[in-house]
Amino acid sequence: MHLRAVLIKQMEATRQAESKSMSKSNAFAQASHDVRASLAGIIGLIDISYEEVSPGSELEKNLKQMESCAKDLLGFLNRILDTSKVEAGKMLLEEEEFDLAQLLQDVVDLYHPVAMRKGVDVVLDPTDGTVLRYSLVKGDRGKLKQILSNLLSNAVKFTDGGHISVRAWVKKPSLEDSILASPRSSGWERLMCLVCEKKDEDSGDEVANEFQRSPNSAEFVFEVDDTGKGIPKEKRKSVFENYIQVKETAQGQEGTGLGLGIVQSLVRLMGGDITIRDKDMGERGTCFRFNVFLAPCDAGATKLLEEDLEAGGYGAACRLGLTTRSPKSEGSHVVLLIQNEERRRTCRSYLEKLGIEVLVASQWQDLPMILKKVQMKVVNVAYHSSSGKSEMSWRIERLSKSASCKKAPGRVRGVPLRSLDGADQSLPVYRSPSPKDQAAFVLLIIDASAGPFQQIFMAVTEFRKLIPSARCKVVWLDKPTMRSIDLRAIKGKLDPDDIIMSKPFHGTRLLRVIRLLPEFGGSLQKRPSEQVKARPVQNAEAAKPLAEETGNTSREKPLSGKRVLVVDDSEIMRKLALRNLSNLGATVQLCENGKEAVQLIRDGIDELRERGVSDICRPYEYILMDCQMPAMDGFEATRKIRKEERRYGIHTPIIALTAHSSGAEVKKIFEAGMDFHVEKPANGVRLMKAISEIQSRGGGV
Amino acid sequence: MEVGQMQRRLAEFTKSMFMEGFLDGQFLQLQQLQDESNPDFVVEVVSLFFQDSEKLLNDLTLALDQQNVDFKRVDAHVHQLKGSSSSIGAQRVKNACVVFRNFCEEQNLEGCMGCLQQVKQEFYLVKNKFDTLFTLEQQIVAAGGSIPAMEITSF
Repeated sequence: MHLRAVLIKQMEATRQAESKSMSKSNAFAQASHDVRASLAGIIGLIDISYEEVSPGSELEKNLKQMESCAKDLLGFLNRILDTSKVEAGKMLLEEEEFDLAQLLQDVVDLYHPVAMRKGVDVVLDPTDGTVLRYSLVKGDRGKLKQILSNLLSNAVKFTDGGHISVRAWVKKPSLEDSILASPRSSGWERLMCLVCEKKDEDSGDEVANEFQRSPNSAEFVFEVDDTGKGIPKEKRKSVFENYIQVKETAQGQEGTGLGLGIVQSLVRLMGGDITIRDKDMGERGTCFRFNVFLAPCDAGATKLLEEDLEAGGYGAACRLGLTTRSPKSEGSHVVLLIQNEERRRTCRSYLEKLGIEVLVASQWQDLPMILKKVQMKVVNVAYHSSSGKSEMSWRIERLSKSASCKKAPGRVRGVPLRSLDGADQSLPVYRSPSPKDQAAFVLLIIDASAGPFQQIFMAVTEFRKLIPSARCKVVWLDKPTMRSIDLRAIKGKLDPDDIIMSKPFHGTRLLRVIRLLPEFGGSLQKRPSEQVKARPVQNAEAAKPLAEETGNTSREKPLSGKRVLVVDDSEIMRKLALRNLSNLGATVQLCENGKEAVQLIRDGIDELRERGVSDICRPYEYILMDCQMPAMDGFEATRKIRKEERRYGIHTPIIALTAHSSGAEVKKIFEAGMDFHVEKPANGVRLMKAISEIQSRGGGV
Repeated sequence: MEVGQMQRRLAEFTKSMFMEGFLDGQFLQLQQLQDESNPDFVVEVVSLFFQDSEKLLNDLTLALDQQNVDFKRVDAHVHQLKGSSSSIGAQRVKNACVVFRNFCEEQNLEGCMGCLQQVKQEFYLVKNKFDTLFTLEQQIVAAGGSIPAMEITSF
């Protein structure tokens, strides 16, 4: 009897549980439908917005990222619903070719802005460069992105300062190296070891997942390492369980508590596992490490031979790296001034791995001193003291901009000069360089917000005076929005070959900069220095056409060589007209009222006559005439000017500037003899429109 | 306050000037005319506007104070003020001028007096705003930062 009661009770409980599960599923289905609808709306709206956006602008970039996020959201939604599928062992892995290094960079760049707002830098650490070498892989890009995004999103949430490092590298397969899974699934671990060893065997795979490890796949290890709150040791296991959250979260932190559970499932699905690493003593934060298996593509190998970085030839830089410096040419020196400590460290470490000598300024105040050090190393002047000592005293006497320096052999760390046998000179000796015998190249990588920009700029400018200009290049790192570089303040004196690069500085941008070095294919040719009037700086990220920023529709100067007379009693209007017309390339003459205008025309004609010009042409190509003026208004001035012109058979197109374009006003304008009218305030676009109209009518050339 | 914060404040403040109608698209045109070869263009033009306008407002006050008000003259002044405010994008001042001119045409003295008050008020409001704006800019530059370019969106 008792047993029956228990059975009934049990059946009831089961029924209840099933019913609950059903309602949960239904709720999920409805919720997902609603979420999908909203997301589709957002994606659609973004699509439309593309049409209104200038190509290459920050706004377009932001829209692209928004679209990417929205699509990811859809993906996540599907994943959430599929969580149960995963647990039931029915989830499928997709396979596509993708660029892993690019994916890492995309994800890091995505979280970078929001982290920076909290004062946290997100750094992509190239480690040993193996991911760059094998960046073309086959695998499930979407799931990998979801894993990384999840981990990064958590890291950003729980970190309030310092940095988050994202690392990746390729591991050589070996039994000892296989990552220990959490104790929960030791059976899994043992199975993984088996699979590692006997690559072709997956028959004994008890675990219900579809992961087929191809013999080509390599083990990729990833780390997301933050300096945040950290997870107490006792909670480390449980965070991976669904719906568990570490309670001591910052205020206002939300979450479904699903993140890490899904991450773990996905990682396992891809053949790996995820753990929390112990940090060194005194280091705060959490470090997640996981591994997955991906198949590097052969195409990757061919890509490595391509020189073009844009085509994703990411790993090329590694291949091109010189591991030993040829004794004939001095290696490049790189000076780093980067604010964030971790970024500084990873940059330096990677550059040094490539065999580049790096000098680091941890703060902007150290920059002048570091630059001095470099200067000493780079500019070699043989100085032979009269006593013939080989001990070197570095007195840099005259530094010419041409590279006519005698090079001292060996690496320069205060290495003594080569003394001239028998010679007893007190003057520095110069020798023109042979191709093998070149002074070193210096690359400065400067974080423009590392300190007061003007002072940093001054230090750099001073330094450049002492280095042959072809041997020095500067890369300025700046935030794409809220630029620290004030071109105004430095009066546009940036060198035309300088590059302004958007932060964050890692990934493709880092490689692009490395390629500036001669050892890695950088050219030493300087662009001919032009008068730095217009924007001289090459923005390496998005070459926004200058036109967009000045409001011109093209870079050409349509009014180049044309003289324009502006007649307006308002000083403001004259000033505006001057700027607008100058931007269009015109030569501008200003005057205040109709009387002056008529006089100028008369004077212009007289001058031509005095010069003996047989065929008098009009003294100005165009006249901009304000209608309402004291002394003599635009209408009367025009009438008088036409009278003058008739004598010589000339006709200057006159454009009326009017505040209102009522029918009566327009009639008056044409009756007075003016050709066109533009409504005030007249900007460059309106003026050009009027002028084009006149030209098309054949009225002006 | 560090530079980034100041820049954000400036951006917010500028945006609010647009949102509240103090400025319109013409001001953006003005900003676009500023570059390395003309680094203080905006400040120069706006300062010019203040000078001109103060004088005009004085003239207007005088003109409306006469025994026999010369509405044509008054209208001419307002026309000028309308022109200059419109050319720098001082929208609210310009709009007040439009109303003013209507009263001039009607030769409505009381209406004109009221409008003069309105125009003065709008003028001093926008002047204050600009003073704040330029002060913010100066602070940023003094701290070594740069003035962020406005994103051109529709208003």
